[in-house]
Amino acid sequence: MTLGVNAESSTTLRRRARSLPGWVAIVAVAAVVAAPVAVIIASILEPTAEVWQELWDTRLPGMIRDTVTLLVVVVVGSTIIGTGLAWLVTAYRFPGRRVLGWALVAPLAMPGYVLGFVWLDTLQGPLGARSVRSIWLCAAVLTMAFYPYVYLLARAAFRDQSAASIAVARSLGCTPWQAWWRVTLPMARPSIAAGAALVAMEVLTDVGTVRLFNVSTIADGVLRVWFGTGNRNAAAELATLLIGAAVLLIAAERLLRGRARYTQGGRRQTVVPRSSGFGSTIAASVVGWSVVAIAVVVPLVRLIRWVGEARATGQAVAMEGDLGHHLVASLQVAGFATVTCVLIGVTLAWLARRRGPVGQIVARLATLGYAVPGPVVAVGVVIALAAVDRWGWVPGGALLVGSMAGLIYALTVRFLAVSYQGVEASLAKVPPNVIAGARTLGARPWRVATRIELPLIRTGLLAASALVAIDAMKELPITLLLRPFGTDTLAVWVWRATSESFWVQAAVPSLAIVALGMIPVAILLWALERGAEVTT
Amino acid sequence: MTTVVGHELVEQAPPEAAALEARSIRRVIGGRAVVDGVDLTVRESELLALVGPSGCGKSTLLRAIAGLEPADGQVLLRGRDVSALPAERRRIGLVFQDHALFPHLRVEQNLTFGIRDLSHRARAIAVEELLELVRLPGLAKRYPHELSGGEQQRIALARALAPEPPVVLLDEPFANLDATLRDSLRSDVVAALRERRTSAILVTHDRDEALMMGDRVAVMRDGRILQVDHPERVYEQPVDRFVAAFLGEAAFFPHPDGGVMMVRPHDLTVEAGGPDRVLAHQYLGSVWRYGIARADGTRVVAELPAGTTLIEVGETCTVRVVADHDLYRLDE
Repeated sequence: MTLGVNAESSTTLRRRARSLPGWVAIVAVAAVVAAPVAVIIASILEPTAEVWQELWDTRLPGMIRDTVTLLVVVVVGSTIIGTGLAWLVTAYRFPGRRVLGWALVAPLAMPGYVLGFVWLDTLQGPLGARSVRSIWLCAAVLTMAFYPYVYLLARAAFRDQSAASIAVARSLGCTPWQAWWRVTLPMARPSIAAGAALVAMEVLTDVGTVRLFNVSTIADGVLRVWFGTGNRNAAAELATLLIGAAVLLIAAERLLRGRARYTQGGRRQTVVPRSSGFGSTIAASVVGWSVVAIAVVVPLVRLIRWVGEARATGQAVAMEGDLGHHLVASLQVAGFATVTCVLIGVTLAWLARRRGPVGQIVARLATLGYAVPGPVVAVGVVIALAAVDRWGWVPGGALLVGSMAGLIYALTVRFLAVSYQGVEASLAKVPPNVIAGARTLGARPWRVATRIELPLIRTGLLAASALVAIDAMKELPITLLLRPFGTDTLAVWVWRATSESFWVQAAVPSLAIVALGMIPVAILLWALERGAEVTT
Repeated sequence: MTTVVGHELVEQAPPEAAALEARSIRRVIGGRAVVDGVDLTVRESELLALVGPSGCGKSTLLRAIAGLEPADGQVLLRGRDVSALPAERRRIGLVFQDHALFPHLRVEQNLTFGIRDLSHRARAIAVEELLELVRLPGLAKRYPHELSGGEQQRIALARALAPEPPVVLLDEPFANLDATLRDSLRSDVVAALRERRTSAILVTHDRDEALMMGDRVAVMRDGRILQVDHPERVYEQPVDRFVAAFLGEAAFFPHPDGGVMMVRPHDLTVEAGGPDRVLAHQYLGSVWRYGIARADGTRVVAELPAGTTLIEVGETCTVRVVADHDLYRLDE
């Protein structure tokens, strides 16, 4: 017996931690979820030279150029808009500030491709049918669709900042503007960078919007190769380019962060919004609400009017007959994906937390899929599942490729990170002494989990679920490639209608997506107001 | 002390001018006067301890002086009126309880934050001197999270001193530290301020800290300063019962000449047997402290040297005043 209480309890914890079943579970889940990514990376080992060569000679340079251009413009645009708006609603008091704070998150429910075709049609008149399909307009649309990621993270960072830091900067000779530039902004930089990285991932993975504007990115190329030549290996090879880009992005983000750590300990006073003069109040409201108008209000009004027109001409009746069918498909896919992601995320985070750094690294492997664009995940999943099907491991001879299980599997690979990070961040906030207290009162790990940890991370869990649901609802490329026959989600319906430029037909499912998406967005906002963490 | 860091000539003030003078500072928040017409003077090289219960307006007063909070009244720095100046032009240093080091900057960058007009060479020298001053040489390249709590607070002080402000305001700088660390940090802070001949206001709710560190102590309550004087004077001759009780255990007995006299625990003795009763006792090492219910229903605290025969809880006793000095009389 050791005398030190801490030494004693930590060895007990470790002994438990070494229990085999937990490790097996972590490693197994991580392996299954990371498999499709591994398959893609492996594909590079045996390149299909002729397809590759042809791509390189013809379309690839253009694809790379368009992808990079889009990436830079959208990331810079989203960062400026998201950060600026976040500071606006954190630091200034003006009429409607709270409502604006919420409304600015609403575009999360608005898929880029919906925003895209609405503005495409709206601007077609003034700009002309040809020049409207430009990469710049595409970038503008994607910026409007993705800035909320930066906005949400930056707002949380600004809100948690200590007002004392700004006060000290002022006392050391900074004007308010200099204090913002030299202290406030750099302190929020990691969060802003994390938001920008999310935006970058979304741009890399987008296929619906770029297709509308005839911008051929690499993600779009993966789809074209897949459908055009049916050559899965060639598609996989093209996809490794995207993985490479994603890895570079993550590395850049880590590099930016460096050794500095930006959390501030201790009790702190947060930034108190200050009233501003009449002029700046007007300016703030105008800027904030115009963004909401461009990204949400105008598109919604157009969609509703299209539905109205279609009804008047009797066009819509036939379409709406299918609405129920598509709605159910969307709800099923998003629902299953959310439940699976959250269940696995909770289990993985909980097991990993008890297994020290090694366990957490293994668990992190399972979340790699988030850094991999949707079309790539789809390709990897198909290749992996096809192997399983070929070997006939599934009982009853059922095929995994093209099944609901396969689709949910792919969505889980892609979005597990979202739920895992949320759960992990929430679990990390549970004070170790609370758990120690429960243990000394005789609670076994299962009881600690159900009675202490789960109730404490409830809001975090809700936020994580909402984020997965939002993503799964809008998701297009994976669903498009892997949906079982007859399971056409709303997103697929929009895709089909818009690729034929049938805007009016796309209006009904678009409205449905936005309406459904608003529910998890509202839940997310509710949870965030109660201090839920969404990233680590 | 070299003045390499000084980058602005301070106008020669008349010798009698205080380092800082606050005149009728008043700050109203939501209809309530959080700071209600405060006059306060800090002399050159003086450490003024500002003490009071939580929520009495100490921190608000400090922020008003620093220019971080709009307030009525005047603030004079070495005789110069700075009331109209924004915080960044007042040259008043600040140290907070949560140290507020800039987490994204290294220690040296934190230290030179306020003196970036200086040449590269001058800044390097300043960093070295400042680290020497707070006894942390060699930490220039660290990030704030790589420092201990005590080290962070030392760096925060050094950063505030870097631009050589006439006055530094310390807002509960030791509140987050453990007892041992606090003691050593207190004496080092005093030493650093003395070495730089910098005046300071130390805000605290800890009466021992105020008495121990302050050259003078100001007691604040409900937005007003009740008394400003040397520590022994505010402790021994408080202006009213609140000040008396806030700075230490005190009982009030009727004074033969009218009013009441303040009795500190060491002014009392306790003997076994009599009309009073022992409610509790505590052993504090050098003394036994008794809680006693007197026959008239009042309660008093008395301290007897360790080694005297212990009177058990529940036994009867007699409390008597045995001060070897005149007891202080409060007019009421």
